[in-house]
Amino acid sequence: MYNLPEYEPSDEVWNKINTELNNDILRKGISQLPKYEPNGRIWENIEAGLNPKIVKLKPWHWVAVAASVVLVIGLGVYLNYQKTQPTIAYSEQKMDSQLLLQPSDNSDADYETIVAFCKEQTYECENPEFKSLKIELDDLQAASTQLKEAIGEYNTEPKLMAQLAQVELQKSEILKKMTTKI
Amino acid sequence: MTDSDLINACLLNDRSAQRILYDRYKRAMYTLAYRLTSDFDDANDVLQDTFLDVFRKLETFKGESTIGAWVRVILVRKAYKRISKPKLWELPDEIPESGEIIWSNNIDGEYLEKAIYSLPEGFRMVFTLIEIEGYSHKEVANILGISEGTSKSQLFYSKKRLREILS
Repeated sequence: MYNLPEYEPSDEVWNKINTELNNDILRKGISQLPKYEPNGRIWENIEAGLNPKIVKLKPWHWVAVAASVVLVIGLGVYLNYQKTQPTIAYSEQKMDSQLLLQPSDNSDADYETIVAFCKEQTYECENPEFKSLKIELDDLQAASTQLKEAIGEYNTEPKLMAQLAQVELQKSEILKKMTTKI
Repeated sequence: MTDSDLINACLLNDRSAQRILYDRYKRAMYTLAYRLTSDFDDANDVLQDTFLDVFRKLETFKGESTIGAWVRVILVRKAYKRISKPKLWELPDEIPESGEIIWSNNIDGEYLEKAIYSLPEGFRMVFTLIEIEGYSHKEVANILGISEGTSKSQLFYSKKRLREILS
């Protein structure tokens, strides 16, 4: 046992021990460094930063907000109404009163009278001039009937109304001529 | 309550849990903030901003380190930003071979504190992070955006300056 060899450590080992012991002096000094305590205000600020901000509105702010809401809703309703409501357009047209049928217009009745007369008084009706007027009157009566059917109840076609008035005028003139022949 | 329990409660925005977490780390973090900025007002702002970030971004904490270490990294970055990137002394990255600093037998804590605050900002920051907070040169290089060589060089010369002040 006593004859076993011994070994010499390198100088590096002591150097490292020496360095560590030396550093211990600094570490000891560092461990004595003072610690500092933050004041309570810091937490209050952190807490305030974490809370969602609540904006306090003054009374006139509420009025402004309410007015804005009403305006927005009103605009929305208006635009929606515009979108869904069918568009109604109208126009006025003035008619020549001379061309309009008069309430007292009784040319149809006069025509019926002439027809009834010709059934009984065939002599007068066989007169060629009278017959020619009668043929013309029949044509005008047929045109009048067609126009009245086309116009319908509400007289919405001014051009047809003007034509009808013209036809009725011609009928009246022919009826006058026929009356003088009877 | 463990850190893990606290984190889960804080994630639910439990204010009392957030307060406990703050109380648990406030002293160490405030002290570090003051060491890095050497100004109590700046330290207050840094601490406040740090914990606001901690609570707002807690869901990004992946648990790869302790929560304390995570908070500390946030604080160091905020302090570094606060003192608007301290000018690091342009020093050679190579450290002299006879580079060991021999300290006197006893260093008084209060005296050391004053000596640390008399260091230039760059020296103070590297010395604080490595010798006081226990960061590695690699970590400091990563946080401050410098090379490891620069970090080692800054530390050596900051200690040399401290030794001169303390002697």
